[in-house]
Order: sequence, then C-alpha cells, then structure tokens
Amino acid sequence: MDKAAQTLSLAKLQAGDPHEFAHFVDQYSGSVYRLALKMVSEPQDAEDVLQETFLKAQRALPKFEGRSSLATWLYRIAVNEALMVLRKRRPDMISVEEPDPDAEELDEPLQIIDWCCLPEAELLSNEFRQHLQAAMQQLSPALRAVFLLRDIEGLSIEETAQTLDVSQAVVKTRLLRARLKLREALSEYYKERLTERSQ
Amino acid sequence: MSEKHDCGLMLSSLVEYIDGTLREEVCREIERHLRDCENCRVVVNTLRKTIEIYQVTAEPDTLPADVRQRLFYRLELPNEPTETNSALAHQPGSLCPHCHQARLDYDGTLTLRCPACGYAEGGGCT
Ligand SMILES: [Zn+2]
Ligand SMILES: [Zn+2]
Repeated sequence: MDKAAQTLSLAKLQAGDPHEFAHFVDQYSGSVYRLALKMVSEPQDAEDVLQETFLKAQRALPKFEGRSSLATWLYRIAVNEALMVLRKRRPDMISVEEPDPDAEELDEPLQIIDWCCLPEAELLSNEFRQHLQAAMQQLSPALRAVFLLRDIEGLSIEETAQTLDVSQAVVKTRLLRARLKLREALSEYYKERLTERSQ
Repeated sequence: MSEKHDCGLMLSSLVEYIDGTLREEVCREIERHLRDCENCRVVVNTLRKTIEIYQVTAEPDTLPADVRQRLFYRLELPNEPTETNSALAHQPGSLCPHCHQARLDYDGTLTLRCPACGYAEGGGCT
C-alpha cells in the first residue's frame, strides 16, 4: 500500500465517479488481494474476497464517515470477507474467535537454535516457501489477520486495532503470539535442515 | 530466581522491544538481561529474522493482470490500462503471479506455465 499514493478525492468517490473509483481500486487492490491470498490461501477464494470487498466498498462509500482512513476501512471489509469464507469452510465453527485467541496461556519459546545466518538461497527455494505458507495457515484466523496487517501490510498497531475493532493491547498480545508461533515453526524447519546436513 | 523473572519480562515486552517503542527504562533493563541470557538472545534474533523472512518473501502487492480484468468487469468499471501493467515481464523462475505458490517454467511450447495452478503466459512471438 506504499505505492506512489495518488491523492484520491473523497468527494468524487462518494459521488460515485467511476474514474475516481477505478483509481481507488488500482491503488488498493494489490494489497487487498495479497492479504486475501494469505488469509484464505486458495487463489479462487482470494479473488472472491477481492471482488466482494470492492463491491461492498462501492456500495458503502457514500456512507463512509471518515472516522478511520479509507485504507483501514477497506482492510476491515476485506478481513471480514476473508473470515466469512473461512467460516463457510468450517460451518461448525461458532465464531472465528474460537478458540479464544486471547485467553490461552502464552506459549514459551521452546526451540532455542540460532539460525540467524542461513544462506539466502535457502529463502528462495519452493520448499521453504511452502513451509512458510503452511506455518502461516497453522495460525488461527485472528492471529493471522493481526500478523498480516501489521507485519506484511505495514499498518501501525493503532491502525490494526481500528481495522479489527479490538484494543491496541489485544493487537499486541495477538501479534506476539503470532510471531512466536511462526518463529517456532521456522526453528523446527531449520532444526531439520541442520540435522540433515550433519548426517 | 530473578533470571526467570527477567525472561518473563522479556517475553511480555517483546513486541514493543522489537518495534522500538519501549520505555527507555524498561528497554535498558531488557538489554542488560539480553547480555546475560543466551536463550533470550536467540529468541530475539530468530524472532526478528522470522518477521524479516516473511517480509522479504511476501509477494509484491501488484494485482495479476487477469485478476484485475475480472475485478473491473465485476465492478462495471472501464478497464483502462494502468501504469503498473507489467504483468508480462515474467521469466522462467518467476513466482507465479496468479497463485504465488510455485515458479513459472517453459512447458515446451515457449509458454511460461505454472506447475501448481496451470496459469500460462506468453507463447508465440515476442
Ligand atoms: Zn532470558
Ligand atoms: Zn500458479
């Protein structure tokens, strides 16, 4: 979302100017799609999320009150759409918040291996990317959303809190959980690599 | 034992510590702990590295051309080309712009194809 941000006219957008809306779509659709892809992982589902998000935005723009930024408002629609897709996949799930992402005890770090200095080529292998993706999908949707908004899309803690309609304290707790879980998964991966190499 | 206590403090302040938004006083306390505690040092280093890895391997936030086309159609918008329409600049080994799951490769007919989702690009003359 840090592309040469054109200044969009909110007045034109709210008046339904198609040219202005096209600019709006071009400015934000890339990050919305990326976010959707990481949230739901299936490209087809991600495209549905993308389309629904902008359809809803198109309809709701006249009622946008500017209490948050346009970007935060749009991300919020996108995250809700993604959660809806995930919910449909698992109709038995009462709420996406389940299991309560804020109630469980914080996992203490278990893997203490320093893998900070592995070759960059390792990062580019398909196998490693698949592992990264799998680790991400292991996170509950609530934790995943926080990690993606803050660490991948670069929103601030405050913006992330606004997007998800939770407090900043909750964002920080979920962010720590998400980061620690991913760290644990990557440590696991590197441990296996190191054992393979030393054999 | 105070060491255990400090490891706990470390953990609970980790988000602010890594983001650099910690109160000076707490920050100094944590750095003092990091000097003495190898475990926490490893956790902090690898946590930073984890975030960095996810950031550098994140796909660019440009929309694949076909996805954009269908989006504009659905929104009933005029499909004007954008300045950032460089979707055909991929090479063998580029990350698939459609599914982002695998790398493109020639399929024998000079078409770049994704082994994972079948997305195809190019072919013919350039
Ligand atoms: Zn410690
Ligand atoms: Zn593909």
